[in-house]
This record gives sequence, structure tokens and C-alpha cells, in this order.
Amino acid sequence: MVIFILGFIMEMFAQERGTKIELIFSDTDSVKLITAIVREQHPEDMGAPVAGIDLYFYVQRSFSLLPIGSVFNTTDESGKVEIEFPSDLPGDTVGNVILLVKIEDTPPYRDTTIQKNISWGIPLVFDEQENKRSLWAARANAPMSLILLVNSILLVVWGIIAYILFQLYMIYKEESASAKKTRQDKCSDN
Amino acid sequence: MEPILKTKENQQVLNDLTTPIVKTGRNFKLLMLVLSIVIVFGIFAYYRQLKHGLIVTAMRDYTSWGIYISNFVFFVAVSLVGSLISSILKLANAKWSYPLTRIAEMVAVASIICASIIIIVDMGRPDRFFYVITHARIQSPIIWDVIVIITYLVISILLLLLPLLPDLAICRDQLNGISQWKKRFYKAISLNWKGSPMQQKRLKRASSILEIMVIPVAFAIHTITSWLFATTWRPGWDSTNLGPYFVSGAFMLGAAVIVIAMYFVRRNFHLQAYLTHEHFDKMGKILVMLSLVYLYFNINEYLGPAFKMVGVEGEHVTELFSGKYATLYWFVQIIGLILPIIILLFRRGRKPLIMLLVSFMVLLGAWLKRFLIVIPSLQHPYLPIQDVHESYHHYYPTWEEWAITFATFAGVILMVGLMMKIFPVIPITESINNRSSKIADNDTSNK
Repeated sequence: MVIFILGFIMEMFAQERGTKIELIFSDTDSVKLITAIVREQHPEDMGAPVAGIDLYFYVQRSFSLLPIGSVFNTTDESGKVEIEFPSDLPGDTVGNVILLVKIEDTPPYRDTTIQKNISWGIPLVFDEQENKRSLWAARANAPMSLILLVNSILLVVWGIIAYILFQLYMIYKEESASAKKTRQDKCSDN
Repeated sequence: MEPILKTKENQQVLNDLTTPIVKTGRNFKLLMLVLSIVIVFGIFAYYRQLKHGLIVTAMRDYTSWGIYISNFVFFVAVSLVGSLISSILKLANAKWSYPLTRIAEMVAVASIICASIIIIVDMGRPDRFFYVITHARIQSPIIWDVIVIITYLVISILLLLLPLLPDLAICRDQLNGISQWKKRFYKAISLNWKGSPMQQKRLKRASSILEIMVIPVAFAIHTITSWLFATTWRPGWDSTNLGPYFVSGAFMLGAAVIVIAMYFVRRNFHLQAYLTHEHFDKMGKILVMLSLVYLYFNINEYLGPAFKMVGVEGEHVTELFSGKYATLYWFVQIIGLILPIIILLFRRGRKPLIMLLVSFMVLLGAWLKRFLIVIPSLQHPYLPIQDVHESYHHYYPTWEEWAITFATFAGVILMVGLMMKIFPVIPITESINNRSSKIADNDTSNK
């Protein structure tokens, strides 16, 4: 029991060790390789390579992180691990993607994440068709010819209706005016 | 307005044609009561639909248009009669048709109002109708239909009102023993009509323009209604023939509706002297001609797909010719189209009572035809119907749908009936003028 408690207290007060991840990118004959070198963090020199530690490589997507590389990417005795970057990943409009390399849940090393922008993605080409005026586009992108045609027809038809309503108004108005004039004439005669 | 009414004969014409306005028989009141009950029942069904949603109907994801849309197409078709009688026959100088114009215009106005109502009923959420306007896509045939229906409604009301002005003035000045509200109504709506030369000139100008304009608008309303189908990718609708097919069917139906209305107006209002056997004979000839045109389009519509029998289109045609809908399809073609043509080709077939029966056959056939246009096509989508509830596979209208549909029919009859109690059902002024010109023609020929 005492041993267990002591172990627990030691674990609590034990300090996690920091690591430093260095990334090297190489692109030879369209084969894109990422080499990560993991060293222990040291305030003065480079620090010793960390062997046998698993790294996780991800590419940032819209809603989550996409894992790349092998299932296990374990460093060798020189702290190195190498993975191949997929050739079919879409990037932004110029092909940039955000690469993340993580050390996760690997005591005694602290969780570490580094991220880097690389231009190894396929440049994203927006389909301009969607913004073009067409019959199947949004209402703001209706074909100009259709807008002109429909509005012209509406203008002509409703113009004629307005003219007919005006004629009806004049039928009403003229007779009212003539009746009023007759009454005024009668009054003045009297 | 008084000079034309001075003679005894003309006074008689006035009495004959205004009697339906002044006197209301018991049968008419009973009819109005029955129609009102049907409408109230329809409103109750609609209340249930509003409360529970469209789930009370038999419409589901595949058959998303049911008898509401069939009924909508039917009433749009009936409304075309206004342009046929009031415009086409008038422009063709068919003077015999003048007693029919008012009936046609009344039917047109009532039908287009009910067509507008039924389309809002079909929407399920009527409050969303305004989104159709505020979020309108000018590329969509639905918004074209909304625009053209509103336009046609306005034109139909004008087409009814314009030739009415002289008659309304007669009612205003000559009718005694009518209620006060009617007198005030005639005064307000007759627009101070005195028949002065200037008023006559303006009315003639406006009427001539309207009579011409209503033709393209009438063609547009039913062609656009057909485009609602033709622009949707479904077997049976993917046809360039659909526009003229719909228009010709509408004219045939409109003519049949006029014959039915003529028969009852003639009989119930005792207007045998104004709606004669000659009118029935001529309307019969028009109906047979329009039926032949529709038959031609029918052959065009089905021959191509039936000859090729390609894929789902073939399945759809087979379903109509010998499948689930075969009885209905052949009933429509034989009872609603071929038999009326055969009967109407003979002079005896153009007698009032036979014409009435034939017109009912055409009417029933036309309604069922709209059902056949809408439903079987929707039940044959291009993607297979899989993993859905059993109710998605068929369409049998619920009592709520039938109640609302019958209510719209009752609505049209009620509106036409009420209009006949307010407006002279046969134009008075034209009847008098026509009578005078006939007498003048006889005098000239005697000399």
C-alpha cells in the first residue's frame, strides 16, 4: 500500500520531458517525402535523438484532421522517421496545405504539435460555372436574355392593362365632370 | 340609356333578361344551400390539412402532386373558355355567339379563382406562398405560372366588366324592387355610364384591345401550366407536344362547360328565346371540331412513345394501355373523346339534351385525363422506388382531398350562380342591338 502511494506521488511530481521536432521536405521525381527528426529539448545543445517514439502526421481539412503516413510512424535510433506525402490531396487555390506532426500520449514525453504550411496540395480550381448566368443558377444569376424577355412581356401586358384601367377611369371621370357641368349650368340659368 | 328601351319589344327583352336578378326561385336557393354545405365540408377538410399537415393526403415523396394539381390543371383549362367565346368567336364576327359571352366570362373568372385557391391548398403551408414571390427565380416555370395566373385573372375580370357597363347602367336605372345594396352596387360599378359618344368610343377601344390581348395570355396560361410538367423529367411529360396538347384539350373542355351552363341557364331562367337550338347546334359543331383537334394531339402524344417503348417511358405507356390505369385511360379516350365526336357529327346529336349528356362525358373525361397526366407519371420515377413505406407505392386520394376537390367544384358553381343573380346572364344591350339590326336587315330584304 505504501509502495503504491509512493509510486503515485512520484508519478504526480515527475516532470514530462520536452521534445523538438525538426521537419525536412524533399521532392524528387514527384515523390514528396517528409522526414521528421525528434530530439530531446535541451537549453544549450541540439539534444539527444529520441528513438522508438510514434509520430502522427496529419493534414488539416475543413472539418477534421486527415491522417497521412503509415499506421505507426516510429523513429529510428537517430530519432528519424520518413513518410511519403500523398500526391492527390487538394490544397487551397495555390496548393497550400497545413501539415501537423504530433507526439501524443507517449510518456515520459510531453504532447507536442508542430504545424507547417507546405505547397504540396493540388491547387483548388473553383467551378466558375456556378457563378455564371444560366437557367439552373441561383436567382441572382438568371440569364440576362430571360430577364429582359420576361420583363418586356410583363411591361407590355401590364402596360395595356393599365391603359384599359385608365380608359375605365376616364369613362367614370368624364361623365362625372359633364354631369357636374350640367348642374352648374342649370344653377347659373336659375 | 332610355331611348333603346322605349319600344315594347325591347322592354320585353329587358324584363326577360333581368328576371333572374329580380326573382330568386326556391330551386336556386336550395342549390346555393347544398353548394355552401359542400364548401363548408371542404373547409373542414382543409382545416384538418392545416392542422395535421399534408400527411392527411395520400401524397408522398414520389406522388407529390395528387388530385389537387389535376384539379388545378382542370380549372385552368376551363378558364380558357372566356377567351374562346368572348374573344375568338367575337373577333371571327360570329354574331350568333353574343348570348354566350357573359356565361363564358363568368365561368372563366370563377374557374381561375378556384385554380388559384387549389394551388395554395396544394402548398400545404399557405403562408409560404409569399416566399414564391419574394424568393422568385425568374428561371422557374412555377413563377411564370404565378405571374400568368394573376395576369389572366385580372384580364378575365376586365373582360367580364367591360361589356357589362351598359347593362349595369340599365340595371341601375331600370330595375325596381331590388335590394338597396344592389342599387348601390350597380351605381358604384357602372362607372357613371350614360352611353355618351365619348364613353362609347372609350369602351369600344378598350374592349377591342382586351379581346385581342386575352388570346396570347390565354394560350400562355395553359402552355406555361404544361411546361410545369414538360420541364420536369418524368416519363409521359418529356414531350414537346405538351403545350398545344394542353391548349387544345382546354378549348374542348371549355366548350363542353359552356354547353352545360347554357343548358341550365336556358332551362332554369326560361331563356329559350335567347339560347335557341341553333346555339346548341353551333356549339356542337365547335365542340366536335375542338375534339378532333384534341384527338389529333392525343395520337401525337402517345404514338411515338408507344412505337418505341423505351425504358421507363415504355413502362408508363404499358401501364396506361394495358396496366393499372388501362380502364381509366380507355374510358377517357372512348367515352370522353371518341364517342362525343361520333355523336356530335350528327345533327340529332346536337340537340340540347343530348349535347348536355355529351358535354358531361367530355367534362368527366377531361377531369380523369388530368388525373392520368399527373399521377401515373409520378409513380414511374427514373430511379427505382426502394426501401420506402408501402404507402409510397400507390396513390389513392383521401377523403380530405376529395372533400376539398368537390368544394372547389361547388365554389365555381356557387360563384357563377351568384354572378348570375347580380349581372344579366345574357347581354341586354347586345340583345336589343342584335334584334334591331335583324329587323333592319329584314326590312332591307323586303324592300
